[in-house]
Amino acid sequence: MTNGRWQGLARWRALLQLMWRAAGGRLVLFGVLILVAGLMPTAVILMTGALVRAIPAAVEHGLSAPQGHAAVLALTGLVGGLVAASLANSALAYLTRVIDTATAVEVHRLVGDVTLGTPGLAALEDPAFADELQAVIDAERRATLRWSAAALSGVATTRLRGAGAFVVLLSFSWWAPFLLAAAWHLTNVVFVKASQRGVSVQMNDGATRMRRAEYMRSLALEPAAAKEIRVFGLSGWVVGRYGQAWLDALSVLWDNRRANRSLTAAAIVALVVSHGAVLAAMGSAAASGALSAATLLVLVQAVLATSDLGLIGDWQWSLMQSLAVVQRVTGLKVPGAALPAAAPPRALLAPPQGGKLSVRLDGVRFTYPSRDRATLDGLTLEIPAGQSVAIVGENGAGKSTLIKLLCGLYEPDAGRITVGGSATPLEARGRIGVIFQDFVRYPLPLRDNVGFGHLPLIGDAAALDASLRDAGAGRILSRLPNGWDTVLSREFEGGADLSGGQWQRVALARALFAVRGGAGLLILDEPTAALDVRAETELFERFLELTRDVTTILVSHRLSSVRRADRIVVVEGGRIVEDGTHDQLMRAGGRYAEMFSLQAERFALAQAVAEPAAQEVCDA
Amino acid sequence: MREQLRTVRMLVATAWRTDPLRSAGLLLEPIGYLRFPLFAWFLKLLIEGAMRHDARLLGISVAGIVGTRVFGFMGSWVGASIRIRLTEAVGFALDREITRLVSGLPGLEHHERPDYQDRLELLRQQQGVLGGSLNTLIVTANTVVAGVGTLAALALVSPWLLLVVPFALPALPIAATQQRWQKEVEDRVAEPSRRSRHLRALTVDRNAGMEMRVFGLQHEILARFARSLQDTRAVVLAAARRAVLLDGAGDLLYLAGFAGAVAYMLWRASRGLATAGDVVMVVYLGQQVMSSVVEPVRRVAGLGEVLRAGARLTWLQDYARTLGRMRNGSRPAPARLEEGIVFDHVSFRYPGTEQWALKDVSFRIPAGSVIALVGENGAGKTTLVKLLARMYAPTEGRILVDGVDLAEIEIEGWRARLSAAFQDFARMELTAQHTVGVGDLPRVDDAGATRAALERAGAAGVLAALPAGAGTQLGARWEGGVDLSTGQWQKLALGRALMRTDPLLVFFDEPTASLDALAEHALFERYAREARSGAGRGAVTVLVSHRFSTVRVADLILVIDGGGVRELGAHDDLLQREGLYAELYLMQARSYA
Repeated sequence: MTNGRWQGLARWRALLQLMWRAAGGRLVLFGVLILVAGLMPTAVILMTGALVRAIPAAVEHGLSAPQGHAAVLALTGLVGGLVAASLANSALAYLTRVIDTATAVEVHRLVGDVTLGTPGLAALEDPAFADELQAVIDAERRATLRWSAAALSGVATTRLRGAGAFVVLLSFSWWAPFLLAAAWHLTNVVFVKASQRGVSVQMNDGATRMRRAEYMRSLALEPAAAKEIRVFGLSGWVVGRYGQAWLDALSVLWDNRRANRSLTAAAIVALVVSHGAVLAAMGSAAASGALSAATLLVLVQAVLATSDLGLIGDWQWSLMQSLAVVQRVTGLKVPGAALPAAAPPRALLAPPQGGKLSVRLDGVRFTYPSRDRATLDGLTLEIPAGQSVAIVGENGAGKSTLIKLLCGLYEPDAGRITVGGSATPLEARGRIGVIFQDFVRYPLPLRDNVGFGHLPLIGDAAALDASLRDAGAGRILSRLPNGWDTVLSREFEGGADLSGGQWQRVALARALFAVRGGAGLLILDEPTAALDVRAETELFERFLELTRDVTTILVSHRLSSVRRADRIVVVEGGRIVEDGTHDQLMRAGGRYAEMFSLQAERFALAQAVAEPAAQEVCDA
Repeated sequence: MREQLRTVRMLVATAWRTDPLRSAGLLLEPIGYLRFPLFAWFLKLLIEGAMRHDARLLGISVAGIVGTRVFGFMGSWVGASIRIRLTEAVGFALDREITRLVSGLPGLEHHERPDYQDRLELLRQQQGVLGGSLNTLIVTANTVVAGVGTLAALALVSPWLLLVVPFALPALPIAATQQRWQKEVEDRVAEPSRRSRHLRALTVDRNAGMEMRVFGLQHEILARFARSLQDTRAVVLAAARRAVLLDGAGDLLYLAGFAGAVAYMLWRASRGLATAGDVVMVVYLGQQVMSSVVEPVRRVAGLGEVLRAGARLTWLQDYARTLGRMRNGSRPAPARLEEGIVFDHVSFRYPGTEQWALKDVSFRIPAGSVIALVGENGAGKTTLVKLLARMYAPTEGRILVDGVDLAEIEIEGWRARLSAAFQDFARMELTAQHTVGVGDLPRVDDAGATRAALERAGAAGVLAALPAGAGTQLGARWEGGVDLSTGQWQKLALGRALMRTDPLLVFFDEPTASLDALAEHALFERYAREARSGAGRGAVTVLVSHRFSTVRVADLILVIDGGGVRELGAHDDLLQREGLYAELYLMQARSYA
């Protein structure tokens, strides 16, 4: 057996395994129904023969005579066969939907287990794996495997019909079925050759181009860029680029799909010759009386049914696509990927000092795989439990990277990070509350958007209310049509959209909810970028109160808010260059003092006007 | 019915425009379907030839069978390749039409109304269905030809045999019922499948992945995704179950009729009124009626799906046309602003909502000024910007540009004179050159223009840090693509807003939310100059910001509160007035003291 055949078998195995995982024992019933639906047509052909054979006797003696019973029996058998085939086909149609939808769910599950299953992000971003993952995600989105069972049942029943016909023809002569099967096989070869190239292009080069086209399409259709498209008049440009990318993708496909013309011609000649030869042999046998009309009828129908050994078309194409992608899907494995147990061990760390966690970074060095320069370069920082530390630095200084490492999303290349004394960030994860700069806007009810901070507590209405109020988002709730159950997206019936600032408060409430759930470390990356002045001021006025029971790390460009932290560190070039309280750093006159003065200066000018104004208020 | 005819016309016309040759070729396919009744006739000849040992009759029938066989094979081979190709090309043409229409809609309502979203979602999903619409139309024609031919052949044997027809007829109401169910299912699963789509997006989104890992939400999200898929699945399967049962019942009914027909022929044969060949022909044609009439009728029922998908497209065409007519004015955009922009008792409610986002707002922006909008989150600042950009039209009142109602000005021309950086700016994963360059489409490939724009935005450093400079592909999911930080993206969005050189109206909606102090400072120094240089053509700059250090540079500050104008004036005036502005300003100033 050649290598290619082994691989073909492995694919079949993968497909059946996937379907088994999705549908379980129903797959056995599926097989049985395919057998019935596939073999019944041959039975019907044989019954038709029996019927014709019985006609002369029926003509001679009449239908009611015992000699005529054979005809009635044959007719009953014929109709019975058709009924069985029809019932099997109906059941098969339903079972196919059951299995295919279950398979789709299973594929989504497999992909989700991988994309969400790795502890960190580095494994997913490894270039070799990322390509593989992207291919599978493409297949998932395109629902390539969506019609597997339908295609399988279509192809299998057709082939069974063909096989039945083959066996029937053996009763006429040994060579006839082989000759016909060979001719039909040639049509298969033509089709498979033409399609296989197409499938492989579609999977590889074509997939990338297609993705490009689909991205341009989504840019035009989805809300994300809708405003820019209108203001800058980009509709025509984006649609044009979409068209270009699509034609790019499809022209590769079309070029590769062209059938081999001489092979096609050969297949047609082979069909004419084989059918001609076999039918002529049967005709002459019938003419000489060696073959009864009834037998001839059966044989001719069998000859016709051999076409089921040839090219089938749509289902075959679907099945090829499924087989081409299935191993990639089932074989998708990242080293170390396993979803954490449903209930993560919260009490992993003995909560020292009332649950607050200390943090220690020791000579941490980190370089993103796609970059050559280290983003963090020997960063050392020790945060005692309960302290609030602000991290300050220019765009790209490595602040957000530091946070990702603290959350265990990446592993440092060198150095060590410990949380709460000895735990790694990964182990401490259940006890960290975070608001990332790009926090997630879940298109789900408000309850989930806040409650996701600590799932076990999501049923606690009082805790939800308190977190929302702490985040200054109490007013949002009163404006929502369905209160806590309002889906935060206007795409859903009874849903509502939030403004940027309102979303940020909800995300903040989520992080504070985590603290209520027992998080000992709260990480805030630009938590107020979209908030208005009053909200920001109110939030930071209560900052100390809100962070009383927790160690806090705050990243912000608004230095007026940063100054309230117990301690401020300035990150530059991947390490800490300044460290102290606001007053200490202002006195030191370094980077922090420079940045703070720049921002403050813009208010200073107005102070002259403002002070007297304020004075008047007091006087009045 | 007229709607359906219009849909069919639209589909055929699209196919014809896309690929006339293949479309014409496809129309020939139904003729090939005459092979089915022809074949039955040859089969009858064959049986009679065999019974009479008639070599000539056998020869004719064998040749006929081989002929119809090969003819049939070639027909389906060529037909299939034409159809696949045409399906792709027509699918694309229709899809491009959808994309063109949606992205060309003047406003944003379609993104914010669930009923529109349902239809658009279906249009998005049903790409393949629309592409195969011509295919489905042809299959319908094929069926009609094969069916009528088969019935004609039956009638030739014995007109009595047409009595099987009533047994086949229930296929039609069955198909119609199934279509109704199918439509109900489509409507019912529209929302859950939209939810599934969003949840799936969360499972493969990088940012979402980070947050979900930290909060331990992986199981929860996957479980909800699975549940949402199962919800859809349950509805779909319940409908499929009913449909299959109905089909089975229809089959059994037909088979009863078929058994009767064969028994009748057998009876005639036993009386010597018919030949054995006639019996065979009835057996064959009877099955033919089943496989080429009853079953295809079900497939033709797919036509219903096509027509509904097509009807959604014609709905979109109508909607786009009406909206275009309603929203578009005929007067050209002014070359320069002389007086300025006046809000005249403007009120606005988002479509489908009850609350007023703006209520009775009146104020004037003098030509050549920089105006800052100040107010708390949700006060209506961004809404004001959207009205000026004509993403929405005022529900009541008018916006006057140099005395002319904005609604009367041609929308494309007006937009060509706008520029904007939005708070939720788009992260377009193109090359850096194009991400910025689209801000002024005629100069999208002009490297000098983007460099200059980025410099003015204080963002030249972003390009320098990219591995391939302006040519770098943005977005890690693309080959050689690079991920940017939020601050870097925002700088590019600012550069985009500064691409156009002669705008009449520029919006900066929270342009520095993600920028560090130094970048912010550098930007405003440059920006103040930028704004004044446009003042010569009367250009107006609208600034939305929560940073009062930024707001101060404006000539005019508009304080919005609860959807109405609370205060209006220059910084110093407003401070003197000791109202909301003074309160907020001092609040922030004090935090730096």
